[in-house]
Amino acid sequence: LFCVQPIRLGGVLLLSLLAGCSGDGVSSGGVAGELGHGKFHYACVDDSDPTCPKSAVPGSFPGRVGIGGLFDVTFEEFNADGASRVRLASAAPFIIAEQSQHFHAETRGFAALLARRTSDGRIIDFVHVEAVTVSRLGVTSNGAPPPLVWKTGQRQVLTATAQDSVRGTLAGARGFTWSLGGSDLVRLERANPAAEMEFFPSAPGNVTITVATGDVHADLQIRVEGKPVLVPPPPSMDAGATPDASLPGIGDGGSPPRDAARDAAGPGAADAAEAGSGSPSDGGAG
Amino acid sequence: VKGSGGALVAAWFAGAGLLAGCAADRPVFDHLSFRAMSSAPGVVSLRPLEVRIEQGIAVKARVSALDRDGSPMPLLELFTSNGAVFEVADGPSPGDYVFFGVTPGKAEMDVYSDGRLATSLPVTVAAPGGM
Repeated sequence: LFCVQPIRLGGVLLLSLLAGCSGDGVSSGGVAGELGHGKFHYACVDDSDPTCPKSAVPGSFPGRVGIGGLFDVTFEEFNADGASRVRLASAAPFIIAEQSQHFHAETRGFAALLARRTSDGRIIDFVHVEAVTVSRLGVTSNGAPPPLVWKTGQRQVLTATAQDSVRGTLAGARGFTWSLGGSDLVRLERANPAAEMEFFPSAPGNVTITVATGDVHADLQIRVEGKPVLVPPPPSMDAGATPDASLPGIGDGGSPPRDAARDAAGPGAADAAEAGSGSPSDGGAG
Repeated sequence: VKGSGGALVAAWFAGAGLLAGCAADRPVFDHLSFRAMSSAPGVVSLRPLEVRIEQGIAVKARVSALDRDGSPMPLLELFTSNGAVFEVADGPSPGDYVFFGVTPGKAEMDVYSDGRLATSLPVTVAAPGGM
């Protein structure tokens, strides 16, 4: 019932959204339009949008999207006659723009998303979405604060989310870039950009993991413990993706970092993890 | 000849009087009345002779144009003078209009009654948080 009339931006009926209304990519909770004539549904462009976690119950319409975030919205008209079509458009394209069949949060402020019937041009409903400055990045591991001490040979997965100044998660798909500050103790196992990054720690020592989107970044101080291990081939690097050339081991068939063990034995390796607070730093924006 | 000339003069006065009567009967715009407004997350001010609204904010209202006798003017239509700044569109029901600010700036809202321009009201669209 939720997707009786899932009209996407541009008036194009998308069967993929029809199929996805109760599954991945679509937040099926929806919100009633402010005029009471229909329901707006938020749809994620990709998995980097925290609004539509793959394994969680779909949430409600987020209402707040981080600047730089991409998203989709569909509209279900109550009492639709079946023949009428509705086109969604932004009231203020400088705040919420229409970009490549998606909506894109451009600058801070509210923008009404208008559901306009194409047959007579009437605006039958609308909902306001707030574009919010991304002030900081949150980093989690399986939804919890990430461990600051890793064991060699045990893969770790970190997830980044855009947040406002009070740590509220902001909706919208965006690219996150992960880096290791030149360290070869840990290897990135997936291609950038990605909201979720997998790491393989291969040798003991300290490493600073940085994740960034736009002008905002977060640093994470990690201490790796254990004996050096061989680095296996990357398990999930996307086909055709370009590995980070600054990291030894990626794409080299699995040979361990040449100097990893020696580097890890340097002074200060045991206590450097204390520099990491576990909570990412505030970024420069906003 | 004299008689027909008098008839012509009488006809002229009668026609002019008829036209004047028509003009006098045509309602003269006085102000707009806004009712049943939707809520909005920003500042919106729909006044009888002025509209102020924040960029990006949309609001629906039921609108009537009242003449100097306080009677509703017929066949109301509202148009924007500059859609890049301010937009007004028909709402979900007859008599409903949706107003929204597109970009900060000034525009006018043209009020038509029965196909005739009744007045143009000033519209101000403010930047977010600028009102």
